[in-house]
Amino acid sequence: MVSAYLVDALRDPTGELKELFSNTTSAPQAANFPLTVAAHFSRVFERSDAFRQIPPLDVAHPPESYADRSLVRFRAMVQDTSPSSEMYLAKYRDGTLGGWGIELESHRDEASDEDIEYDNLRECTVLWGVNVPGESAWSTIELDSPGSASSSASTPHQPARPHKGPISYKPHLGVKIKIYENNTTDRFKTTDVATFVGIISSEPFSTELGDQIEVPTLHVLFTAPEQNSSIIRPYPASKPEVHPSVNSQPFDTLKVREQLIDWIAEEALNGDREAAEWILLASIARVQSRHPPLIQPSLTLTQFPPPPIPSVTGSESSTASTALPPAYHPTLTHVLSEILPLTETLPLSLPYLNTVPFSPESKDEDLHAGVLQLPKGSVLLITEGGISEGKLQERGLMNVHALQELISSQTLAYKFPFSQFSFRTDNSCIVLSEGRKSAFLKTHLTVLFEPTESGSGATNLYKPAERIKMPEKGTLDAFRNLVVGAQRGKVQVKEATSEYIQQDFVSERQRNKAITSDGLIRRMTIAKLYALSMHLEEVTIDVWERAKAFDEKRIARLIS
Amino acid sequence: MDVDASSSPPMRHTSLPPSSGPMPSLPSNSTPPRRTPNRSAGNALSLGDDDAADTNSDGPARRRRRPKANAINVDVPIVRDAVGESVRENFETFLRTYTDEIALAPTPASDGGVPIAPDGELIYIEQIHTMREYELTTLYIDYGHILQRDDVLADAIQKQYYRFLPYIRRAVHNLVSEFEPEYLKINPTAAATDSINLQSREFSVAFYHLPLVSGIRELRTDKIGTLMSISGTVTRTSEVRPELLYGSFICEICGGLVNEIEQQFKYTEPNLCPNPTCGNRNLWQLQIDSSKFTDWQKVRIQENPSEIPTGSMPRSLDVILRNELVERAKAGDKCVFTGTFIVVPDVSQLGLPGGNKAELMREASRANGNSGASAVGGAGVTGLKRLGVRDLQYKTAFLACMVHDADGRAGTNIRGEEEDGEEDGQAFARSLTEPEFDELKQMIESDHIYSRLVESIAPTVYGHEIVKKGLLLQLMGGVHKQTQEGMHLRGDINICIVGDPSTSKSQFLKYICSFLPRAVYTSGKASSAAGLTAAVVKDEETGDFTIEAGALMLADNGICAIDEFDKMDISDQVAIHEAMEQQTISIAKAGIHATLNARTSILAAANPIGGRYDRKKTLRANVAMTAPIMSRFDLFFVVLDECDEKADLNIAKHIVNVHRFQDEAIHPEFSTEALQRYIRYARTFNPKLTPEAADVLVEKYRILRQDDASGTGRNSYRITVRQLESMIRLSEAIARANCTAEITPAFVREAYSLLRQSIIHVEQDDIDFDEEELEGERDGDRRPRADDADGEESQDVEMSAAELAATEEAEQSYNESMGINGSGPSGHRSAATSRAGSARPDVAMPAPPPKRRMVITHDKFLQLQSLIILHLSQVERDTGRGMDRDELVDWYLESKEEEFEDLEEVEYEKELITKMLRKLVKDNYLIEARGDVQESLPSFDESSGQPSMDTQDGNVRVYYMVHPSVDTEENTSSVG
Repeated sequence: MVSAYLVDALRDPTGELKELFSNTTSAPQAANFPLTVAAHFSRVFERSDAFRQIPPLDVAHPPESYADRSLVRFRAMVQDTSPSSEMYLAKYRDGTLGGWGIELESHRDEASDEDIEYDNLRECTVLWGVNVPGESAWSTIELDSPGSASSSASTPHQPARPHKGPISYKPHLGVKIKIYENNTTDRFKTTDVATFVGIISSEPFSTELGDQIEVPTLHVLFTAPEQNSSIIRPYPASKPEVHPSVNSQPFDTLKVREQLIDWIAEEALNGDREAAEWILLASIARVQSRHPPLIQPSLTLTQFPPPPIPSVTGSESSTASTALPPAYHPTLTHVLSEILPLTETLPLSLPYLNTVPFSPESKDEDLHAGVLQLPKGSVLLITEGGISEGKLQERGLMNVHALQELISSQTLAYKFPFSQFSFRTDNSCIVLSEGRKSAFLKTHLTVLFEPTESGSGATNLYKPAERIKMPEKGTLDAFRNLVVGAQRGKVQVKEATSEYIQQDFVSERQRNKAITSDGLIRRMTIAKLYALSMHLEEVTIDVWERAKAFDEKRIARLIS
Repeated sequence: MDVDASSSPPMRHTSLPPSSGPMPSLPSNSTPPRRTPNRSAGNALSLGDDDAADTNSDGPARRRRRPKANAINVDVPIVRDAVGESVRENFETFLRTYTDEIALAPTPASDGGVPIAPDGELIYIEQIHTMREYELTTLYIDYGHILQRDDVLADAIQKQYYRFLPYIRRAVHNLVSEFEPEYLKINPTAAATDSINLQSREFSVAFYHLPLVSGIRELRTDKIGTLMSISGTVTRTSEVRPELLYGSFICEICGGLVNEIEQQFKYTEPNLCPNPTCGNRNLWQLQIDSSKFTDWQKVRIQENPSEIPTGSMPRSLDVILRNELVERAKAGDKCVFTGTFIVVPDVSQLGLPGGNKAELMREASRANGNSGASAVGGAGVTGLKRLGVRDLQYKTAFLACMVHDADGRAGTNIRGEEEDGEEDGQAFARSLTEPEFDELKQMIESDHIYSRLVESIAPTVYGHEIVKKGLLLQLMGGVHKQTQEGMHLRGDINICIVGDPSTSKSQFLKYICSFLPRAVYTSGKASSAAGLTAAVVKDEETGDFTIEAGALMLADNGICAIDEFDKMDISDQVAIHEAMEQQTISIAKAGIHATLNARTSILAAANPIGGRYDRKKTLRANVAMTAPIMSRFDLFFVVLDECDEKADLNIAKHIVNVHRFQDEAIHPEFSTEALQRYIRYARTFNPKLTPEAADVLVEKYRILRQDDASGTGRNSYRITVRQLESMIRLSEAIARANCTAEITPAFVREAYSLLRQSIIHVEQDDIDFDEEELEGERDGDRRPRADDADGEESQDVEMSAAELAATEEAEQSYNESMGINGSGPSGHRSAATSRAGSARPDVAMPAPPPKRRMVITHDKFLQLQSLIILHLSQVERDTGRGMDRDELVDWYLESKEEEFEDLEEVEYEKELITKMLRKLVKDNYLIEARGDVQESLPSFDESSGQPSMDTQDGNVRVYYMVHPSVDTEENTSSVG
């Protein structure tokens, strides 16, 4: 029976809706029909294989490629919640269903506005969603379906409202999302990622200025549960948990960890293992708590060579004049996108800083996207290789300030006409800088880049993705399990360890006054990250000592 | 009866020739009802079906559209809204009889059968008279009065405001006609005497002071049509436009006039020409002069930051203002709007910047033929067939009947004048919920509230109670006073924290910013003066120069936290001068002269020069701030990173616990919200000094001045009258923290101790004479060069013990009184240098008793130094030449003659003075001249490290003169 619903829903969701409406007889269900709809369709598509049958809506499969009013699923990041809710007629005078974009022929004549029963007006929440920025290719494939990478559109999708896309030089898809369930008004906040399943069509969107433009609109039937929106891996990985993508082979965490560090070092860092390990720690870090503030440490890799002057010919496809062509992206970008589900690179240069907005700004009640409006858990790689001499103008200053605030306190201020509101973020930052310290930013940790294979030189650090030597599939999966699992893991510090740590601190203070309370905080954070990267449940004394030694080595490197 | 008859005029309006306005045969007070939902005035033919609306009398009234154009049916009886009528009557009674002074229980809402003779002034009747005088058309009614007098009426009005609105207006109209009949009509042209041609005035009612103010987020469809208040910040205002209330049209075909077409938020033309022979439906022309217009403005408001749940974006809402409410709200104001929530179609038509567009669209739609009276553009339901299928587009808006400023001032006059006053304590207490109020009460009544509050401040930071005390007092603030001449005496307390790195300075600043809503955090390094104060910016669109508020202005009535204060340019620091003392910022640039208020407290954090605080130097020398700025700070806290085992253990424990348990590790006694409420309540007090406290204050001030004056130790900064004012402010803040209105002497003492700790007594090492001379020559003299890294504290302890041991063996008691090191005023010592801090671990050797060390305190050293130099300079002035050493020594011994008790003392003093002189020469305070060469310029080397020259060669005379680089003036002032 369910499969019949399934086929019908996939083929003609509108008809399915109407049928559901006419079948709904009990009063409470009828009274809150959207809830009924959500429950019904969630049940129909509950199983993952059924869910996968719904075609995905993304940049490769834009709305134009779908027939009007087809059923699609859209994994979106909520970009803007400021459009006011709209009213719609839930039921027409003759008892037919309204909402979800359904219009009836008989309601189109002139005097139809007299037919309005005001009691039937309901509210629906309107959001603006964009495709998830920074999503790496493998996570898209995993969350959608294997064949989804191929584009089915003949011409690339032109977004109707281009200013709503966070990363201006990457193609993006923006959709107006209308949610009919009543209890969702505050459920979705900006930068939340969710999968919306509904009927795609096209509607005018009236901006504050009164212009009407046609935008793709998704009338949501139900919102899929979280495992469809983001990559999840178990922690610790050795625990046998049922997940389709986890390698069923036994997981030797330490070995995988070493392999991962080796691979990162070799491919992206000219053999510097320590820097690779630091980068691993920085990418798995997340905000631990807000009160008291325990935010993840940010990392600067100093003395990282700038890109060799690429042969910039006319054929370089840089979609935006301010964005650096991909030749400026370090190999690290590609390496990170292979192991992390959400990562974005910010290639800083003066034109980029001076023109591209970093923080979202609300103009005329419309939230223009900023580069830093990223989903929680993204890792941001900031390169300074493109910085040359010049003038930093007002927007550049504001951008640097916003970025610094993101790094220091994990908040991002959205600008409104008469005020500013800070929103919480959860993005780790790694900065690659040419000099001894970063040109603009102050991070928690600094690591000196010391390549061992200096023969390869800078070209090896900036090679394109194709030239990276990928590990075999099983190993790559193991890498991903390790990293993604560690991102969401939790470690504890037991009593014995904490005693040891305290005594250690006191005795060290007595020996030399160089260690301060800030240093202790830093060490604790690093120790926890270390334990996370090893997929341990608690920070043991051994881990503490190793982490301490690791930190000492970093400091020694800086001084020497 | 009188009301019902008004429904028949629509019939008569169908006749030609044109007649606008009410028929003379009608009773005077029944002008056609305005915007009754239940009757459709204006459309001649639409008497019919909307009577059915009456059956929904319990549901919220919605906007009614014009019903279908049915055939004329004159036989349908007009249904009256009986409830509406009774509302009108009760309302009229209320207006007629309400006075302020009657404090009786509200009389039942029955019709005024027995009129109670009012004792006091009938305020609403008075208001009607005033209305006529000032030519206003809005009656302002305090909702609280209605609640008080007739709660059933109040309830009815509130729940179905939109439905009863026409009745309420009718009631006002009746009253006006009763008390001011001539005011009813507008006289457009003075010459017209014909009362027929006069237009009647429209009156409106404005309710205010509704008990509950809601947020925008709470507006839902079930609130449509009810009377409510919302508050928000105005972000945009449209221009003031005329709104068509009643349109009067001429049929283009037959020329007949159709009047009183009620417009319902969109341009509505009559459906059918009333002339039976002309079946025109579409071709109408609006008669401007006989139509009724009113002012109209749409503003856009945004939620208040306090109502926004964390992580959500602010919501916006359109508010429609009419009549006299236009231009009351300006962009940026935070206002309270009273009115009702309505659903409006086609709002995109309203407020379009280019009104022509709507006009064009309308023309276009008209030209297309069939959609005469239909919606504009493709957004409405009709017209869909041209553009395809669309969803209905209805928007919600707020129709305001009243707007006033909402900055927490309870005493705002509704007419727009402002009363300046601090929030009343009682008013605040009333605004709390029950458990909050209990908690507050408990806090006030408990003892030691002061110390408990201090502990709850910045719970994530461990230790540093003194800084927390300062922060608490800054949050409380002193009392802002204004003298009779109009001079403002600031009440804000400015604090500066100077400290070693990693002593949680930034954490304090961040805490303050998160605690206080009106706090702004800036970094001195990243800001310029303009960014901190205010900048003049050029608006790109209009080319105008406007003022953009900087951090100090934004933190008006709050705290501005400036990090890395010392990294700010000196020129930028100067810009803050004015803000700190006068509490205003003046701008004179680009044609803008403005004085902006900046009543902020400043919390600054600075790092010492050289990274770590050097206790040898004064505070002034440690911080890169100019003296004027430093003096404007009330309190200076120096936070040092000290090596103490116990403190270290505690800090480590705290940090580890935070990492283990996060939230649970921090459990302050009072939550942030409780603290905030307490502080708000405490700020309503205005403490005054009691006479005893005043005496104590004067005494403490005197002591401070004395210390500064007499101490040859150089204090951090001068004690001036500013410090006296600071003490007063601090005492006021402490009294506020205890929630009392009187300042007791205990508070003054506490303030004094706080201030005192700011003035760190500069640690100077004691001078050890022998050390210099006999370096490395004593036996068994191990002098491990103590460098900074060592825990010198233990060494200090050793040294004192050694010292004591040494002195016990050999010294006389009075030598102890000369100040043996180890008895310094504060327990902790600064980084030791080799001169004074060298340890003597083996003083207790049985070898010949070590020569008594010639050690005196720095103070005494300075004292002696000044004495000698003064004397010498005086002698030089008198005689023109220096003084012989022997003479000098004799003079000194003579002056101290009374103090000596035995010969040893004399010997000691003699040796002391000799060594003193030698040291002074070495320090370039004196010049030594040998032999008879006093007249020649000193060109020989004085600073030679003269080694052992204990004995003077008797044949060579040594003269001393004051070194030319010594400024005797300075010395005198420091001594005197």
